[in-house]
Amino acid sequence: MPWLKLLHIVALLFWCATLVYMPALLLQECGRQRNAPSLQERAPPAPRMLFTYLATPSALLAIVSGTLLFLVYALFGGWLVVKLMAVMGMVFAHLACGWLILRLEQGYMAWMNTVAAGLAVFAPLCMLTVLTMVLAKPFD
Amino acid sequence: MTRSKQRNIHSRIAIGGHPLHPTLIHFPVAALMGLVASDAGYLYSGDEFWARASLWLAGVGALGGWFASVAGVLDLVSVRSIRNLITAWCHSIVAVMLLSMATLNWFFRLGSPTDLLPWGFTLSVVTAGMIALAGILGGQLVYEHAVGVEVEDK
Repeated sequence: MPWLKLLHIVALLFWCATLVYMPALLLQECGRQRNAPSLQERAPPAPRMLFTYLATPSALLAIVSGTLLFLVYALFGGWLVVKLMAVMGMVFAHLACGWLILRLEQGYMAWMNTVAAGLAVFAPLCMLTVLTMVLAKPFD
Repeated sequence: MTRSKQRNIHSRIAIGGHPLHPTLIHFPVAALMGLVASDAGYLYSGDEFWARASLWLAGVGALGGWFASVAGVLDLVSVRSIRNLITAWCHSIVAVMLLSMATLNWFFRLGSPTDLLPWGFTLSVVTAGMIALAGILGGQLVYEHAVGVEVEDK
């Protein structure tokens, strides 16, 4: 089963990387569109491709392989429930990124800066909670 | 969103034009929603019948959910116009997350079905909330993007 764990960690690395990168990308797009209004006509396809072809597939792979892992190793406990809640926090950050990308494409820039900056803080905090729970297993 | 010329999006995982994912998904959704009620029934009455009912609802919900999700993922990956929808991926990540929780919930109960507090009941309630969210996103796919809907002549 080390292969399953390897798959899980690789998928998780991809997901976390994109989840840190997407808010940064959105912040940058925000600044660009504010400084150069001519670019507002057509948003670049890059954020959507990142979301549909890299970020979400790796997130799905990470969650499914993680589920298989706790089944195969029969790992249960309160820490795992809290961990899954933190993963749910990552999922919410992910959804918010998707929503912001849709708004960016439609040219709605209101609150984009604030929400993206909030996500840039919130997503890593969730990841930190996940890692703490899985490595320290602070309670049963 | 980018508007395509085609107004509706066909599902590939379908029998005789009837998409499979929306056909299958009602059953696990109902089971996992009923799980909250049967949990509440056990916590309120202390009758072990409700605890056993919860065990079965969690199992049927989790397994049925994974089964139905296969049809959903195949549609998501194989149909380009679905694959390009951000809402479709959002729907899938919420669904897979809640199935992971439902699976954990079921395995919690296999050992001791009456041991609901704090974790079992928490998982049931959070899962139900996530189902509502997945349902909203899935509804957007059908009613706003016309995925799996046939209104045009073939």
